[in-house]
Order: sequence, then C-alpha cells, then structure tokens
Amino acid sequence: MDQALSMVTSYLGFLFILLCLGLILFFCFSDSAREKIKLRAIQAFSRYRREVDLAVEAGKRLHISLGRGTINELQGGSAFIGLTILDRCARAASNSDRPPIATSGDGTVMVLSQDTLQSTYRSLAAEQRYDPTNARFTGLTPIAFAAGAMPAIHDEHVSANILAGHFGTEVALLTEAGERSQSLTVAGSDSIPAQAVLYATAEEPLLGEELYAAGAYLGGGLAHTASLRMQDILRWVLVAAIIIGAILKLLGILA
Amino acid sequence: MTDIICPLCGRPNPPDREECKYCQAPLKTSGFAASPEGSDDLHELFSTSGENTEPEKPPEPGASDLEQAIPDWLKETEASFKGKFEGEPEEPIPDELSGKPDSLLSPPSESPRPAGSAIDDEWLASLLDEAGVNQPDQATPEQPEQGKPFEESPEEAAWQPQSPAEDQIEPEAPESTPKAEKPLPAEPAQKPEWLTKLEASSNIKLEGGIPPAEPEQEKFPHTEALEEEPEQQTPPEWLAKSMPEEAAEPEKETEKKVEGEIAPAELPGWLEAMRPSEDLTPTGPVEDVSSEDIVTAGPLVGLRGVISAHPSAIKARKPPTYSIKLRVTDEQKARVELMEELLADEEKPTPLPSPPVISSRYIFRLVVAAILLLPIFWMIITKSQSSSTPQPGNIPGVTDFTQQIQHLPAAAPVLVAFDYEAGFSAEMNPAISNMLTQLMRKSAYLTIVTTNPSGPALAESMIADVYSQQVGSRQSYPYYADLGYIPGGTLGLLGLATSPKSVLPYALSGYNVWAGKPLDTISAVKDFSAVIVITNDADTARIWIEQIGPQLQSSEKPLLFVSSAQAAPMILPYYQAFPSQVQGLVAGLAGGVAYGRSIGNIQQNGIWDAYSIAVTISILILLVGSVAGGIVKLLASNKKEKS
Amino acid sequence: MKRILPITNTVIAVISGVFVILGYFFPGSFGGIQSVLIGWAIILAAFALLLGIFNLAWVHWKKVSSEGKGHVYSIVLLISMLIMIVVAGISGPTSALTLWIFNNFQVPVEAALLALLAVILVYAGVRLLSRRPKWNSILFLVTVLLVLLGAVPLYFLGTIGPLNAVHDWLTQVPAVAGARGLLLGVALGTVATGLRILIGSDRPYGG
Repeated sequence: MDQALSMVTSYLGFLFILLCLGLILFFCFSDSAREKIKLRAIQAFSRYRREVDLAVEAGKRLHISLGRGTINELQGGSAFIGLTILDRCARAASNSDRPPIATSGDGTVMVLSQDTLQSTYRSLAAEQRYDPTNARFTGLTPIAFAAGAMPAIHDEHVSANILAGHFGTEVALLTEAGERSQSLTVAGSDSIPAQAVLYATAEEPLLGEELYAAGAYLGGGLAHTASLRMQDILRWVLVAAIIIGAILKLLGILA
Repeated sequence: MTDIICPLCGRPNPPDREECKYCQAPLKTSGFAASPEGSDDLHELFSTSGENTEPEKPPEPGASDLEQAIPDWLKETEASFKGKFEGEPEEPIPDELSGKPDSLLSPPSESPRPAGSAIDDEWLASLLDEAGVNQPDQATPEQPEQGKPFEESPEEAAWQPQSPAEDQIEPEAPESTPKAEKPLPAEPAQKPEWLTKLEASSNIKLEGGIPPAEPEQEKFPHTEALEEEPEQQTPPEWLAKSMPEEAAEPEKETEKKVEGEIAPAELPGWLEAMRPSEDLTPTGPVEDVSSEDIVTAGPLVGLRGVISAHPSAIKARKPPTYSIKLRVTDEQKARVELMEELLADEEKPTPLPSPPVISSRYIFRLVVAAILLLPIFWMIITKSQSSSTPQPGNIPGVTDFTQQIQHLPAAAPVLVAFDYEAGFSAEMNPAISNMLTQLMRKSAYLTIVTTNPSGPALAESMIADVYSQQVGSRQSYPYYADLGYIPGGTLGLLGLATSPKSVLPYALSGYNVWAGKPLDTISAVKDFSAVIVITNDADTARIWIEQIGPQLQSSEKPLLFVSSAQAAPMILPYYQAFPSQVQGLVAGLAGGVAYGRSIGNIQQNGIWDAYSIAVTISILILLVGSVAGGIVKLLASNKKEKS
Repeated sequence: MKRILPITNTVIAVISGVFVILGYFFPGSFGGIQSVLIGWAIILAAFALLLGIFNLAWVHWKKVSSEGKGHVYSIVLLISMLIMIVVAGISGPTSALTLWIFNNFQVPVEAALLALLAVILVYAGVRLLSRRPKWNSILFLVTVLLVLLGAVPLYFLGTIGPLNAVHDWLTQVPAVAGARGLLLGVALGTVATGLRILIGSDRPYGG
C-alpha cells in the first residue's frame, strides 16, 4: 500500500499529464461530431476581430508582441499562444496593404515568428508578401525589448497592438505607447505583476487564463477548444483538491 | 437600259428582273420606273416600270388632262380588269363579284337600264334583291347641300352597330346589303359619288378650286329598298354614303351589266354590325389646301395639299449641318462652374486633423511627473534623514538573512546569482551592496552565475564598487569567479543543479576555475555553502526555488534571496512555509535599508526620505485624482443622460 | 519536398518532446537522452540569441537605407552596437571600458525607463476610474492605496500601525491567494499548450 502510494506520489505528475492528454484527445474526437460549442463572450477578442477588419480597411497594420519569454522556460506557453495569435492575425490581414509585424525579446521566439509568418503566407499562396523583417527581435533585456518595440508602435502605422506573451511591468511602456498613438491595445501576460499593470493601463486586458483561450476564440481549431474544455474540468478538480486538502490539514489528518 | 431601283432596299436591279436580287421584293408591281444609278431624279422613280418596255404611248387625242396625267400602268390595269369581266367567266362568279366594276376614269355611260333601276351592278342588285331593298322609286336620297357637313339621316342611324342581343344573326338572311330607308336615286348608271367627288376634286386641283364638302345625304339603302328597286341605276345608299361629297356634278358611271343576277346574300349579324354607322358624317378636309400646289405627276395627280410624287417636288438636298458646339447660356455656365468646384472639393483629400502637440494628457503627465520628481530631487540633494528607517525585526526575512550569512564559515564558497535587470539597480543596490559587504568581510569565495545576459556586467560592477568602498581604493576583489551567463533559462539551471562544471566549464576570464581551490571540491550546487539569488522577477525566483531548492534542502544548505519589492509577495510564502524553502529574504528598498542597519551600514544619502515622500505624494495624487476623475465622469454621464 | 518537410518537422518535435517528458519522470530510462536533447536546446537557444541580434541589426539597417521615420535613432543603434561589439570583443565583456560603457549608458537608461513606469502607473491609476468606472476599479484603487500606505512610513505621518497590519494581511493573504489561483490557471494553460504541440496539433515550427 505504501509502495503504491509512493509510486503514485512519484508519478503523480506523469499521471496528471496523461489525464490532460486523454481529456484533450477525448474532446477532440467527441467535439468533431457535434456543433461548435459556445464560449463565453470575452470583449477583448470581440474588439480584436473588429480591429483586424478596421486595420485592413484603413490600410494600417497590426502589431503582435510575443513578449520576452523563451520557449525553454515556463513562459514558453504564453509565447506559443502569441504565435497562434500571430498566425490568425496574418491570415486575417493577409490582403492588407501593410502586413502585421511581430516583435519579441527572445531569439528563439523571433525565429519561430518568422517561420509562422512564412508558413501562413505559403498556405495562402501569398508567399511573396512574406518579409523576414516583419518578425523583429527588439531587445535582449526586458527594458531594451520594450524600448525597441515602442518605435514599432509609433512609426509603423499601427492600428491595434496585441500583446500576448511573457511581459513584466515594462509592458506599461508598450501600453502607454499604444495610447499615445491612439491604437487599441489588447494585452495578456502570464506574469502576475504584468496583469496588474495591464488592468490599469490596457484598454482590453486578458487576465489569468483568458490569454490561453485565445486560440479557441480566434478559430485556432478543434484542439484549442478541446484543451479549453480540459482546462475547465481540471480547474474544478484542482479546486476540489485544494479544499479537501485544506480541510484535511485543518483536521490534522494531513501533516 | 436603265436599272430598276428596288422600292424596298433602294438598290439597282437589272430591268429584266421581277424581284430584287438583294431583298427579293417585287420590282414591277409598284410601278416604279427604272432610273439610272446615281440619279436623283425622282421623276424617273415614278415613271413607268421596266416591265413595260414599250415606249410610252403618246397621249390619245382628245384625252382629258386627267387622263393624260394617269400613268399607263393604271390604264392598262383598268383595261385588263375590264377585259376580264367582258369575257365569259370560267367559273360561276359569286354574286358579289358578278358585276363589272365601273371604270375609274371614264365617265359613267348611261346604260340602257330598265326604268326605275337604281343599281348599276347586277351583283349589287342581286344583293339588294336578296335583302329585299326597296327600289329607288320609293325614295330618293337627298342631295347634300354644299358646304354643310354630313348629316346623319334616320336611315343611316339604322346602320349603327347593333348589340349581339339585338342583332339576330341569320346567316342566310340577306342582310349583307344595308337597308336603305330611302329609295335609290333614279338616275341610271351613275358613278359612285365618291368617285365623282374624287374626280371633281382633282379637277378642282387642276383648276385651283376646292369643291365644298357636301354632306352626305345619301343613305345606306336597305336591302329591301334595294330589292324593291332592282332596276334603279343609282348606287346603293351605303356606297353613296361612304363616298366623299363632291360639288361638281358627278360623272356618270359607266355601267356594265353583269350577266345574270346575283341573289342577294344574307349578311350575318356581325357583318351587319360592321356596317358603317349612319351617324358618321364624313367631313370635308379641315385643312385649307387652296393655296397648296396641285400635284401634276404621279398617282396623286390632281390632288392638292399632298406631297407630290414628282421628283421635282422633292428636292433632294444635303441635310443641314448643325453645329456641335454646345450653346451654353451664362446661367448654365455659372452652374457648371459651381458644379466643378463642388466636384473638385470632393477629389481633394481633406487632411486629417493633426493631433495637438501639447494635449491636456501631456500636460497632466508633466504635472504628475513634476510633483513626483521634484521632492525626490530635493531629498537627495539635501540628503535628508527625517524619516525613520525601518527596523530589521519589522521586515520579515531580513534577520534570518543576516544570520545565515553570519553563520557561514570563512572563505566559504557561495554561489551568487545576479538575475536582476539593470533598471532595478537603484532599488536593489542598497541590499546587494550590504550583502556583498557582509560576504567580503567573511572572505567568502563568490561564484557568480546569471541567467540574465546583463548579469555578468552588473556583478562585476557591484563587486568592484563594494570592494573599493571597503578598501578605499579601486581594487578588484580577489575571491570571486565570474562564470558568466547560463543560456537556456530553466534548462540551464537544471543542468547547473546537476552538473555545474559541464554547464559552465570556464570563467569569463577564460580560466578553468574548477581546477583550483575552492571550486575543485564543488561537483554540484549542493556543495556550495549557500546559494544567494538576486532577482527582481518572481518567476525567476520560483525557478531557482523549484530547480535548485530541492538539492539544497537535502544538504541543508541555505537558499537566500535578495529581491525587489514587486517579487517579495510571491517569495514570502516560500520563506514562511514549513519547512521553508527560502531561508532568508531581503526585499526592496525597505529590506535593504533594514539589512544595512542590521550589519551597521546606515546610508546617509537621503534615499529613504526620497522614497518616503515619493510614496506619500503618489498616494495623494491617486486619491485626489481618482476622486476628481470619478466625479467628473459621473457628472458627464448624468449630463449625457439628461441631454 | 513541400509535403515531406512539415511531416518530418512534426515527427521530430513530437518525439523530442515525448523523450524530455519521459526523462523527467523516468530519469533512469530516459535521463540520458533527455540530457542530450536539453543540451542541444541550450546550444540552439544561444545561437538563437545571435540570430536575434543579427535580425535587430538587419531591421535597423533596412530602416536606415530606406530613410524611414526615425532612421536617425537606427543609425545611433547600429553605431552603438558596433562599438560595443568591437570593445567587448577586444577587451573582454568585463573589462573596464566595457563596464564603463555599461554603467554609464545602459544602466542609467534602463533605470530611467523603469522610473518612468512610476509616473505612468500613477497616471494610469488616476485615470482608471474615469476610463473604467466599475466596482472592480474601485476595489483595485482602494487596495493600491492601502498597500502603499502600509508599505513605508509616510513622510509627514510616520509609521501607522494598523496600516502596516492591513498591508501585511493584504499582501500575504488575498494577493498571494489570488496570485496562486492565477498561476494555477496559467500552469494549466501551459500544460495544454505543451500537449497540443506534443500531439502535433499546434505546429509553430512551420509545419
């Protein structure tokens, strides 16, 4: 019994990952046969869609900032979300006079953003519109990254800024630049201090997990919706585990 | 030989053709004469047709002018028509066609008709007989007075179309001939009035006078009247009624007796209804054509007021050319100019209003910045120390931090991670300098690592500054090794935790520091006496705690943190946990100042006062500004609702 | 080739990710290959840093050559980059000259930009209620004021005990609890994102 318990404790993380994977695959196959599930309205994504259309009409461009997180760290998850948003933006604004630009503070993310843009345009048979300099590495340090992204907001005829990735408190510099250039800012970060700053400075902040739901809201595919449902279920599981653990701790059962 | 001009397409054709070779229209029936190509002489178009290749016959002596004006083809047509009816008919001629028509030209000759016969044509007579028309003895049509319009007689009213209910259709009823209430005129073999009138008008045209319109007084004879007076030589009333009135004496008709009588046919009701109404009074010409020319050639010879078919009457001339220049009045010009101005304004792009260089927001930002910065400058300049500095016991983690370092053995190898940004130097430098001071006092061997690209430079600067302050001269601390930047973030820390030599084999100076003391005894992170992490980011702190902490816990080596105030709330739970994963924490400027007091290093540069006044002013600005902004917004929204 | 390459990329990505995860949970069996793959990832990350710097130089060179808006600042950046590369390459990354440039240019500039954040955040706090007049904004502002009041002794009033206690309670109980909840959600999202890449659904590598 103890051995089993210790094995479960040792491989709890692995079991958790298997559970997540199983739920995603289950929902992928079950949702493929049913109609599209309804998601709660998030104003940021509604405004984002409108701004994409307005940007195309006005001949302006979109600015997608992927943050300074690297894929080797925990912040890599938000960087991948930023890449998904970049892909959707590039598709939506593929016929715009000014293609979207992507800024990042990490070399790996910069290379991935270039690859994302190129593959998107290739899939749209518009590879001639791809310009490698539309994916930019703006700075090595957080402040340098913010300082390098600010001119892109001011000088590149940006109509909307989508900040999706790992940002610190330096994101306030980007939101301020967006406000000065009278462009919409939709921003989300996985950093707690950054979310506090975004709540006060951004027009449409994405708090908590709303950033990770971007793929499902922007039509990323069945897997995004399935993973969103998986997150909803496991969130309740975690809530239950915390409450039960707190009660057990309170009762002295747990050491 | 002249070509024939097709009447339809106007192209010339050979004279021997009967149909146009272009459009297959008959060439000969219209009687158009062949004209040479390119000729504008229309007279040739109306001359005798090519069918008649014989030269024109000379006019008969004694022929009237009218007869001379009539083309030969018309004469020949009349002759052939007359000839047909003179011969024996091959098949029984219908009653209505049995009578020979009178010549249109020759005056009517008095045929030896029996007295009282008012009908010249036997077919008409037969029709009248069948219909039972009264003979002309009964009544005579009234002669219309000159100049009076046609007056409908009661008998003529009988010829009004009747409704189907009233009109009893009797197919065999001989109603084909109109009933004449009045007898036919007693004059035998008379020409129809319309013909006489026609001739009279033509005579008048030749002479230059207009025969007055004579009201038609002859009524449509009833069939009974016609039948009753089969022998009358006068034309039937219905025929007389439809004839135009003539002022001159009608010419006598040439009557030809039709062999055999034709039984009057019974007119169906619908045909009866189609009889011309007796109420209709043909009116004379309303146009005064007395001054018009008389046509002298062509089929309309003798008529007045018509377009002559004579080529000379139609003078072909070049169509008038009209100037294409638009006639524009001054008013129109003015309107055009106005329209052009309006359109020109539309084409001009209206420049977007440029945003004001200095806006209210810009000014407000300047005011906030000035209010914040000016007191700070003042405090630093004056090195004020009016505010009480925090006590080490009041700041959680400072005392433990101090004690942990204090308990380190001399010359102990300590791993120090400079993972903070250069921008946080101002906040964290007091704590860092105090830490380095304490470590240098213990001659601890500092092993510098960083996951931040600017970390090595920050570390070098701090170590040099702190040591220079301690010794009083610019010297480099001898007991340290800067291993430099660890790429890969979390992965790099994981590798550092398990095998630091493989991840960072050389120092920044290029030397293999792992070969010499004291690092030659270090094989893993847990071999260090302590690990001190300097960071401003809570995530970085969490990574160090999660990757390096377990290894240190197993060897009971302390993990200490120097962090900024923004990361302290996230690191504090690790410090306050049991068992704690962080053994000491110095957070923010307050922690740094308190830590300095604990080691006896009290700073006199006015930073704490500047920090205190900046926070106080920030609170005031937030409080006042938020309340004012909220009230203004509320008032504006109320105003909007009211409006 | 156009069809094979994306499939190959996907296969490589999936297999690599699976081995790293298995190496974390089963270090005995897959620890070796995990270490190799992690080592490759660290090397690639370092070279990606160099690629990023090259991209930075290329973007600004293009801006200078096209004389776009603000190309003067691009000239300054390129010259600064060149000088720093030359100086650090010749004298070393921790030489006196390099550190002098670092301490007298980069540190003050970054510190100034970070100080600018204070003004920006105060200004944003003032406008928050007028821009977003909701109960959330009022609660946010009240929390900010209470934390600031208890963080440091006020200049004219000094330390106020109850305010210190409120500050401690706010920062250690509701703030941390909310932060942990957010972090749990972020962790779930990160797991979901990683798994989508592992099953090949998300292919940010040009698949």
